[in-house]
Amino acid sequence: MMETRADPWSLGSAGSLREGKNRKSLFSKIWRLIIPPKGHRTIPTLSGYVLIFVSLAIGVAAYNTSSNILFITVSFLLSSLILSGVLSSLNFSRLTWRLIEQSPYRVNRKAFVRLEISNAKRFLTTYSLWFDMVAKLSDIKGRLPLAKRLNPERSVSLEWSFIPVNRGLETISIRSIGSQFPFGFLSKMMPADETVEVFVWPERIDYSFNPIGGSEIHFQGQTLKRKGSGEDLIGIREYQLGDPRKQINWKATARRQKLMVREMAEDKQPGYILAVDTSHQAWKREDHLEHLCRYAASLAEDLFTHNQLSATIINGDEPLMIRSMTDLEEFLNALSVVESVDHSNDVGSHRSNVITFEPVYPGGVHAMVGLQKAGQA
Amino acid sequence: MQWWACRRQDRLNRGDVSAIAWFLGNFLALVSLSSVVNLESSFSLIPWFALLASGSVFQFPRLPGRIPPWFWKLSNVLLVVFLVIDFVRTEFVQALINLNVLLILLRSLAYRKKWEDMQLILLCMFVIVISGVLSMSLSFGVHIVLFSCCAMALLFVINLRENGMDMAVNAETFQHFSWIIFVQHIWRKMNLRHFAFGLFLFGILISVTAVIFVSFPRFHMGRGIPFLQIKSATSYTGFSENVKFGEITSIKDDNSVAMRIDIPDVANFPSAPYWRMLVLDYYFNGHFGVSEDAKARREQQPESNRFGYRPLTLNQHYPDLGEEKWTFYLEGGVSRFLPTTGVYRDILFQKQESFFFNRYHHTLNTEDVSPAVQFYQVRGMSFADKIPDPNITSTLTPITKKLLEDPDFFSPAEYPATTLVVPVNDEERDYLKESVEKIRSRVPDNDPVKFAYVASQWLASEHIYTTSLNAHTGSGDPVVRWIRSGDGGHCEYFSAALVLLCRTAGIPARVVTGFHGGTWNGYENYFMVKNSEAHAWVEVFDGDNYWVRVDPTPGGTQDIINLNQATTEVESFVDSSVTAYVDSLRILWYRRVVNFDNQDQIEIVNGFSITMEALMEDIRGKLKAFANEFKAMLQDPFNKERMTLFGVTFGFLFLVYLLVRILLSRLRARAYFKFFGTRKRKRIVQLKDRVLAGKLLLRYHQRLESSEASSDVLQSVSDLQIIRFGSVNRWPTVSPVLKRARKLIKTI
Repeated sequence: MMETRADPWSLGSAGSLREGKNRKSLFSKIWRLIIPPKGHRTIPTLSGYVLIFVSLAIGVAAYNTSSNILFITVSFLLSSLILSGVLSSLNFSRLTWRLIEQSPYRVNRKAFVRLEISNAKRFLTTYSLWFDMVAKLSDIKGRLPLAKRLNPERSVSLEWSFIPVNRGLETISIRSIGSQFPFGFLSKMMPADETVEVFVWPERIDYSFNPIGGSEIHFQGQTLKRKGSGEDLIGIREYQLGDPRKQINWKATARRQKLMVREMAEDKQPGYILAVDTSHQAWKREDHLEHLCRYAASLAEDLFTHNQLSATIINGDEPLMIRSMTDLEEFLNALSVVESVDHSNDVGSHRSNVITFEPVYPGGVHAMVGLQKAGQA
Repeated sequence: MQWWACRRQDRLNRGDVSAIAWFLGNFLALVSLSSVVNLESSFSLIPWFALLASGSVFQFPRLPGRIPPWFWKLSNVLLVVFLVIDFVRTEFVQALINLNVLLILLRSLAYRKKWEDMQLILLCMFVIVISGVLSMSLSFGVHIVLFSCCAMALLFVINLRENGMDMAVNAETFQHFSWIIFVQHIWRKMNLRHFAFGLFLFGILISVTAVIFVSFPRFHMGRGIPFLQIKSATSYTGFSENVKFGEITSIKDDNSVAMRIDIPDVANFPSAPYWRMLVLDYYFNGHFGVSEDAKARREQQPESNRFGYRPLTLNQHYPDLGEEKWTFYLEGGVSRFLPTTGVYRDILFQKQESFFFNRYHHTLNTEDVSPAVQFYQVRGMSFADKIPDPNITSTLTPITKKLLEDPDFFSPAEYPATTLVVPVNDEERDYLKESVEKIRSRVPDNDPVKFAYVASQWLASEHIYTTSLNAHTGSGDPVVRWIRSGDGGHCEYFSAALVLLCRTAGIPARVVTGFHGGTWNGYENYFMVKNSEAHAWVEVFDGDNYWVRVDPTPGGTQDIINLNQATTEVESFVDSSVTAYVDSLRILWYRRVVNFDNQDQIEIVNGFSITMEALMEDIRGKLKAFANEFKAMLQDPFNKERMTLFGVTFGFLFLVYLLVRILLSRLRARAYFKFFGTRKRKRIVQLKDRVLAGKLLLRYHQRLESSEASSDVLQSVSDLQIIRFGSVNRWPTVSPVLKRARKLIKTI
């Protein structure tokens, strides 16, 4: 369904704060406190500007009056600024994070991404972080705050939600990590080289599908599940009283921390071949093409749950046999990134088990089975 | 009930954090208000009222919830009206402080939002700094440290609140507030490690502050512009230009320190020095004072002299005055007349001062009494008992001669003729003359100074020293009445009596007030003079342009011809009491902080350089010695002595090594767990728990294959899975879960 990153606990680009081979010398760390690495930004906040202004004013007064009382005050203000910088660096040190996708992602459905943060410091707690998140395809930005403290050698998970607006390959990344710790004088931000790419499937829509010779199906945007005792895994759900014990999926149970059971599909029966042709000649309008994707995705899911989907073909490529949920997800992934092509390919649309699509003007898409209209959306 | 609800909550919740922030803000307000109250010239009752109100709110945090809304609207209007009146009525600094005090009060009376907290921090800092600049006292150090500590804690908490924990306090927060419960609650939830780390950071902050303070480039002491000065302080009456009998003695009741002096060399320091402040040349009916003519002769120093003054007359008379610097720290409110010995090369002020110099009296005074401690450096100071007075001989000699020829001659009140005036009636004058004749009979020649000493001895033989006086009521001059009575008296009576006797004998004489004596503070090596050492003595004209000091008070210097007697026995007047120790902190503050300047910076650098050089020299010497020894050993490696030493050393070290090994092996496990192993031990226990939970899950799995699970079993399985697979910080309490699981497995 989704690509997963190979390197768990990939470190953010915290520069000197990386561990292992990237561990920097003490001098280097001190130098980086004075000259921040590229991409690191330290901006005074409003209270920071006030502090700087007050320090300057008292400093000028101290020199003009030779009053050591004022010099002491300036010294305190400057040392608090220095301490603020040092504590801020300590706050970021030995901090690791990773993004974990929470599938599935679908257009106009609330999507989640989990951020796991780990504080590898032995003694120091981390406070008051925020993560600036961005979903590039949908052009959505958001800030994810770490409201509670993160104790030493502990991890915490945060969840960021957004609603994808376009199908396709969505890049979710942490734009930057920031903090105003400890006193709110300085807003320190550093780039975070952490990204996950996820497929955003087309939106589910209401449609009708009534092939001649088949049972009429009306779908209201809900996935119908057909449980069985076959070998293909449809999905996983929470345990309900009466479920057989052997259906308990222990790994999922441990991950979710509640009892989960497997749902198996019924054994495969002969079904339809869903052929999607996105040639430019047929789908001249962008909205038609998008509608096609939505229709095809919704239909494929429902046919699969009714055990009536044998294979899928996109633009005359090799047919993808749909035997399991994984195959269906592969098809939906492909559908989420499909684009208009120059030439159409004959996929045997005259055959009675092949579902093809054609646009209807001014708006809409027809599903055709054996060259006859079988449904519309 | 959810499983996590059973766990002990180990963090401060939002309400706690917000309440702590509010208390920190109010504590800041108390600290800043106490700094204003601490000003000796505390302007009005406003700071006291604000302190009381703010303290009450701190004690009873429910009070702000009972303040009606109209109060805030009305307070804004009243504040504006008050400030307009205050700025018109009083001086700028006072009005400014009043404004800040009232704003702090209003902020501390309310439940604040974030920006109001920030505002409060700024206001408090402003007030503390202003108070510090005005008072320059040690308490500023305490206040600024407290302020820094609390302000940073408050900013930290505000920052936490802003990042997802924002919740302003309100009346409901403190609805059932009790200090005991609150403190217990916070104590239970407080992480002592974090607290200790906070203290450690604060120590670092203080150290960094000290380094920055020392490193700031400084300019020469005194190159400053006037900044926030108060003029409303009053001095002790006894140190003003008009003194009634008893006013000097009343100062003696005050045992506080009046001034401190850093002296360059204790070897030539007299054990009981005289610190001149005022010369009172005019006398009438029990009142001494500075005559109007002498006042008129004071010279205001021009702009160019504001930071220092070199009285040329002294330099002419005392060409050999040294270069040593004496630093005086005169406490606020003592007097506008600055104590010195009267003989010095020049004087330097720390800040711009408007001051007057009286070349006839050799006294120096500022325009106003400083409410804060006043610093000045005197260079080339001498303890000579003679004060030069230019051209006095030519002025006084004809008057003296005329007076001796015609006793009824009465000079107008012009200085220095004022030092000859005896304003008594004829009968009293005759009595004085009789006394003078008695004294003169004991003086072989007509030397005026000897006469003064003999007169002092005569007074001491007739009167004892006491500060508790009998009331001598009656007509006539009170001094003559006292001389006749034979009763005891204090320094003012003795001095006044000697002045009248000298003047009757035709010797110009004047009373001098100031301090006599002092103690040596052994903790920080400086000289302390207390108010209880206030004193009055006499200066008589020697007929040759000098005024000579004579102290007629019993126990004074009437028997000592050389008043400039130095002492090298510092121990004889060392003060080692607790009070002296506390006072030494003040001088440390004045020396190291308030008076820190570029010279001190140079001294620090030089001191560091010298220390490093000495250290390097020491290391070089040791290396050289080691090389020589090594060379000698190589030349004759196996002599008996060396072999014996080697054997003994080796044997001893081997024994120590064995002992350490044995001890370590015994203590290792305990020490390891005690100091380093807590975390690992905890992990081992956690691992065991995971294994146990896994075993129980397996048993569940085997049993549940053939039977239905009840909700209890499912809950138990869920708990076990959390222990087996879940994060430790989400674990339920382990032992009850395992116990329950074992019990349930048996029932399946």
